[in-house]
Amino acid sequence: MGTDDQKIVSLCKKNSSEGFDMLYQAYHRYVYTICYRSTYNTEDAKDLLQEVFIKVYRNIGSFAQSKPLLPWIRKITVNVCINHKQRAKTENLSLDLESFRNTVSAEEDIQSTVISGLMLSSVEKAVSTLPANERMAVILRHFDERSYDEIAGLMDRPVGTIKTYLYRGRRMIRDKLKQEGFWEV
Amino acid sequence: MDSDFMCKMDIDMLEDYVDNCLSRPETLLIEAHIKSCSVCRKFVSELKLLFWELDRAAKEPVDIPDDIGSLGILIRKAAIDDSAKKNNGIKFVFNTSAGVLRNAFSFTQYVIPSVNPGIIKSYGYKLRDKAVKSGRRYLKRRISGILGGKA
Repeated sequence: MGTDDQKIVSLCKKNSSEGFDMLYQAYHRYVYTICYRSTYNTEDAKDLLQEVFIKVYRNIGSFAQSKPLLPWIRKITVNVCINHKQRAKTENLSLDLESFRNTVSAEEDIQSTVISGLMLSSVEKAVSTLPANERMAVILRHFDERSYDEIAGLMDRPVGTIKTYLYRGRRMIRDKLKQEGFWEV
Repeated sequence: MDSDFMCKMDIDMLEDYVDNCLSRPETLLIEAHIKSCSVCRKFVSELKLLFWELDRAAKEPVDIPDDIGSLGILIRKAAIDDSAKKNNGIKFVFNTSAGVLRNAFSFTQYVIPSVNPGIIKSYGYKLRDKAVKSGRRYLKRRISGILGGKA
């Protein structure tokens, strides 16, 4: 456990604003990234971030000072994201072709860059529309590089169930990409 | 199970193979199998492609909105102030009421000097302080009455 975590927890337990601000500065990017990957919607991600930190602040009084903060914050984030009811629509993930024209230099193959970007957008869209448990398992495995055991601990499920979530989630993504005609082996 | 998966090979094992979660002997078994089985070879190829796409998506940085930093202070205030209110219910009611009285008489003091600033300014202050004191006493009596003298 880092000294910073110990200092943060110690300050927060004394209800020090400095402690809460240090905690936020240290972890808000990580939390926002998970929340955004879970929703692909900026406003939803901000709402989730807010919910996560309110839970963290209100419960840090009972948090053991000898433990590292990140696994605890990660677990709260996972729970908040799974329980979040997705809005009917995710943000428009279609690519802004104008921004492509601005970023792609003349020498590059514009067509392949656009296809690659559309593919990326479709993958993100497919992930964002997965059921909550499948989505979180895919995010933790592929985006946050957690092991099966870690994911099982974070989601309070046996490893076998996590594998099932991953299997189903990947199959749904594959099916969506096939439907959109991106790849056929 | 995939409806078009027509091989008896354990599909979970194929997933674990692509996800690098198999032991060395299991890996060798799968590699030997997919050399001769086109169904599993296709499944593994698709899965590898999907892993590659997910890996590419994971490497895309997430844009952190500019206002996320300032949001931290609001979240802290919402979380801490709310819990402070919950923990100090009676004290909170008492202080809020005193604050309302203080603000009301500050407003009176602000309006009256515009008519006769020299004389009424000091009167306005006295009046305000007196009202706050008597207001506090009144509130304390009322709350003591409600709680049976515990406030």
